[in-house]
Amino acid sequence: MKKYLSFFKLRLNIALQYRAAAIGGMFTQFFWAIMQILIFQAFYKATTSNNISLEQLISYVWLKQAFYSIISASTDVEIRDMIEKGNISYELCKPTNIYWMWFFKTLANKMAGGFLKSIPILIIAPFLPAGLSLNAPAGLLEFILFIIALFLAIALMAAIMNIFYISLFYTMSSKGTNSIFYAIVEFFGGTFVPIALMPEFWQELCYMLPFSLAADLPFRIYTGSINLSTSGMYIIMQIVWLLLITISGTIITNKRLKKVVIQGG
Amino acid sequence: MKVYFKTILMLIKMQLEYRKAFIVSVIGSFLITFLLTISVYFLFEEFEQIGNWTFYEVAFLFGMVFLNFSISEMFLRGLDHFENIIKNGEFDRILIRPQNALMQSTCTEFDLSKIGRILQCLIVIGISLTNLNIEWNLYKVFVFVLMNIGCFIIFLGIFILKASFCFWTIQGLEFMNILSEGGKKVAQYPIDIYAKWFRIFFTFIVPFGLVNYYPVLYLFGKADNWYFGILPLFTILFLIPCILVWKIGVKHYESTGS
Repeated sequence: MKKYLSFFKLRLNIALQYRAAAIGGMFTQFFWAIMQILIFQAFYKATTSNNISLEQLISYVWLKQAFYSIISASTDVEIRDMIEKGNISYELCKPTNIYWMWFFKTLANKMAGGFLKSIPILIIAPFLPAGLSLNAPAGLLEFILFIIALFLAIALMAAIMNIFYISLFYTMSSKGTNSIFYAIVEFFGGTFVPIALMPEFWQELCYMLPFSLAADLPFRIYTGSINLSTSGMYIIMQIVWLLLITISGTIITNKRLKKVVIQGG
Repeated sequence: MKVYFKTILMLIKMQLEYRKAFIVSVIGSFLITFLLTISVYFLFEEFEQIGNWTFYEVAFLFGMVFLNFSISEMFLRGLDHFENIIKNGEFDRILIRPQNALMQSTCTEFDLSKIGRILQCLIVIGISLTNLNIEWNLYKVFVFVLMNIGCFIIFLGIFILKASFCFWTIQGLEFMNILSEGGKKVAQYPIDIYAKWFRIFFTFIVPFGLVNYYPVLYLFGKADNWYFGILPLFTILFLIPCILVWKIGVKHYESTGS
């Protein structure tokens, strides 16, 4: 009996440690969002932006923070290790298509982690004092489009991440390329500075690229800072990019797998 | 000290062995800071100023904070990844050697690729200084150097604190990133733009205000109080408790791993 009890205690401790980490993570999320809001409030004191109002921007910051793990470009260590350390050989033995396996793996990770982490913000942020709070969506139609765009965004982001994993077949090491990939996705996805606050030319450029469609568009639709017809057009563009990236991704993967190099020993 | 430099030199040589990977990492670290600088520029294109601070003034702060953060990341990588040292039992080995444990933990890693960021930060500081009309004199040069030292000391304290907590938690805590990453982000803007409670925290608890706000007021000629310039010295008061926590942590240490 004693050993079962100690086993139970051990498990409980592990779970509690995870809980401490979860609470810590929650704190971090709130801290980031509030700090960004404070900075934007200071900017808006002097002048306002024509593209997005402060209230809209605050909601945008909250949502982005809530769904950050969905839209961020942090790559999966497990998949990286597969290629860098040679475990890819086991994967290749399985009678499945490696591209789609990675795609759905990334998708599942992003969904499970992402939606779970968004809950605290979505519950607490709307009730913060005015000027800090997450506002309701601009309208019912906007909300529906937001949900559609968000799901497409997750799939699109998973597809973008897959490009990175495929690139590992060529570079063989994620050191360095990892941070280049991260910088590009975060910048063009509007995480360094919201796309609505970029100069005109850059905004247009960013919305042509898939990164902003995955990491910025849903939240702008929610706040109502772009009109409905444009939103509809961008959602179609999301679908087009998704098809484009996944189809080219599968073709490249299949081609590359014919001469794949297994590392490690 | 001699041992320290010798270890660092070896770690540098080790990284230079993988030439291609090294170059790509440098480009990567340069690119991130470069795009972050562009982002700050975009914000000022849209808004022109924040509080009564202009782009070049903020760019100067941004450059200084990121410079010292990158230097800390380069030299203190071992403390940043301290949970690994604890987890695999490496710390036992450190304790039996006749050298300072903190120093040894620091030189387990050295991230040379951060040189890309440092370069980028120096460029940003250079550009903003040429566009700011500062009336330089010997004292102001001294203040400028002191600011950088103070800023580094704060990050040093934060990294030590972050590592010390690993003695209790074994795991690295995401929470501690609020101080390192968060502090970096907070300190790139002059702290008078924030709400009061926020300002107090970052002046008296984690003293970023002492290295970026007050000395800069004096440096830019926004205030005449000469003693604003020596406030960075007080960052030592932040470092002392951090080292104390470390010392307590070492006493508390129980071996793990195999």
